Amino acid sequence: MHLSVSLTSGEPIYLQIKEQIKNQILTGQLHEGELLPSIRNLAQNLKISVITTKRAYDELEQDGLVTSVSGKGTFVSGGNKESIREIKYRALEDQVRLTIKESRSIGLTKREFLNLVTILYGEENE
Amino acid sequence: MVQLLVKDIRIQMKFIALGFVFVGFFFFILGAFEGLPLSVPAAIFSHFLIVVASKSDEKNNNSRMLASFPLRRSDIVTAKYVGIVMFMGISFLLTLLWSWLAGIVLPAQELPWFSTQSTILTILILFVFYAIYFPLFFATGSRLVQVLDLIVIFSVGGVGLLAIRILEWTNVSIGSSLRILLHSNNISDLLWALGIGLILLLLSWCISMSVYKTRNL
Amino acid sequence: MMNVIEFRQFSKRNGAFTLQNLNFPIQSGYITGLIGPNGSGKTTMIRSIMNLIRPDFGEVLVFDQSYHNQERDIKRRIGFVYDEDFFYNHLTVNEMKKIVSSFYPTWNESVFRKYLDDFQLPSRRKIRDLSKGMKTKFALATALAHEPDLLIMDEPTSGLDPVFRREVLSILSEYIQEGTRSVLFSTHISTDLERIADYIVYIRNGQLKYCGSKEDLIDSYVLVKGPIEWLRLNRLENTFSGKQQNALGFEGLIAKESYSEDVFGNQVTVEMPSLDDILFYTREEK
Repeated sequence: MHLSVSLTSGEPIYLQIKEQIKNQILTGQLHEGELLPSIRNLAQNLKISVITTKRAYDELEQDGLVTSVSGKGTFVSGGNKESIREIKYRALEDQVRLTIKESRSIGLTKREFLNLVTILYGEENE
Repeated sequence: MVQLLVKDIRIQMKFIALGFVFVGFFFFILGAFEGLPLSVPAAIFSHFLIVVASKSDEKNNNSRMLASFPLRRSDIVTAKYVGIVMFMGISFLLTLLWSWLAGIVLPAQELPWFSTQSTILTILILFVFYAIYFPLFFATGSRLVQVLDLIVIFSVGGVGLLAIRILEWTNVSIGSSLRILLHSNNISDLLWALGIGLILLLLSWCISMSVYKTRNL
Repeated sequence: MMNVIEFRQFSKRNGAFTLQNLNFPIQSGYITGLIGPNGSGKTTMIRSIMNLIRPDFGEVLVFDQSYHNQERDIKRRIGFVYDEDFFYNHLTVNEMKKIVSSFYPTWNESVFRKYLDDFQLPSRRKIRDLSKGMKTKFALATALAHEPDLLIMDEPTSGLDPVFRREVLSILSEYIQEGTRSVLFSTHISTDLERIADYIVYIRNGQLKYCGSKEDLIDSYVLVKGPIEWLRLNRLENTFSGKQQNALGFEGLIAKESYSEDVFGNQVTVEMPSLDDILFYTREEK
């Protein structure tokens, strides 16, 4: 597992940790049933507060992405992965719909729009 | 408690060695203070050790450090009083060691000697001095400690002389009775005086305890 | 949850200011930062916890024990680092160590050696010849070597270079790893705390302003920035805990519950405040 936090980004540290772990679960980098580092251990490694780390874990647990077993640690939970991806997919669909609407409003054709997507996708992902 | 006494010795190993050399150098090799009893260098030596030990406990916030260690305030006070006896013991023993060493090479009759009277008298003077010194030491702390011994010596000396003068004016011959005490061959008189000195010291210990217990460090 | 330190109706008059009726606990198992402007009573508070200062009223419990009858037991379990010289200056590091170690039955020589090596402290150097940073390192090494349950530090990172400050922070977070040991330290360098502190005790003029988790403290405020005209038009000046303005605009701190997007609109930018922001803008708050 890889995590890094920025103190200067203005984003709360617990949120940074939460998002990073969440993404790693959704992209399959963290597998179902995998044991996450203990709260105190993670805090020590990132040199951040225990409470901050605990908050990130608590929120991940509320979202159903991890389960904590007392005395054993926190594990990546199974089952929810699909539904979370589904939710994200829907949100993305909405955004694309909105973008299409915008592109129509400035008179872009479908071909021009797809061209733009191809160019941007290529630039960012290669 | 014991750690505090060991600490007092540890922080002045160098001064003990220095004092030892000093006693030997002045009293045996140079023959200074010829004709004086041996308890004089021993008294100077022990006074030096006791005062240096107290001074270094009030320099650099050391009192704050001591009070933060697992000790009660009463331990710190009591250790200082036990330290009086301990350092007196050390300096008398070391002086004795010198006289024994000197006795090997020099004829015995030319050496300073330990007499019972002078020894008891010296102890008495030191007791009275510390009975006054330590309550002030614990009450004032680092503010006065560097000059406190001088203040006590001069004010006690001054008050004493003044008292003697006044008594002489009023025709009480305190001077002669003091002289009798000083040259007294009657050891039981001296032991009585020593007993009073001890009681004074005990009283002083009680005062120091109550003063130091409530002090903010 | 257990308390490692508890102030109970604690009052102490000390010169210019008074610590007034302090009632609060410090959680066991965490790092707590003590913050407040200079002269607000941080050092007096730390000395009270060490029983160097006697309260006028109330008491401080440490490990749920009272100083009245458990002074030695309590202090055996505390390691302390103060913001001043407190060792015998004429001794060497090694001689001083012998004295300190004699007072603690739990002294662990190998822990001490490890820190001495890590900090590159010369054991034969006299203490008076150590730099301020090295003295602090030595104090920290002696404080940790008897493996205390509570580490108390008064301004430990002031006068230290950034490299060693980082080092101290990682020593602290390693130290509380087990979850049974606690750290309390006062500081005016809040970036140190920003990262590592779990709880914050904030005092001002001898009074407790806040005691709770750092997250909650930072969460309870927002930092708002915007143009001055906006401030004039919206008549919201009184909702600010504190603010600053110049020709280019204003910046101010608002309690989160008084902030809402509907009222403030999109002419202003809203940020998460830093501890420094909170300390600065609440300095005159009633």
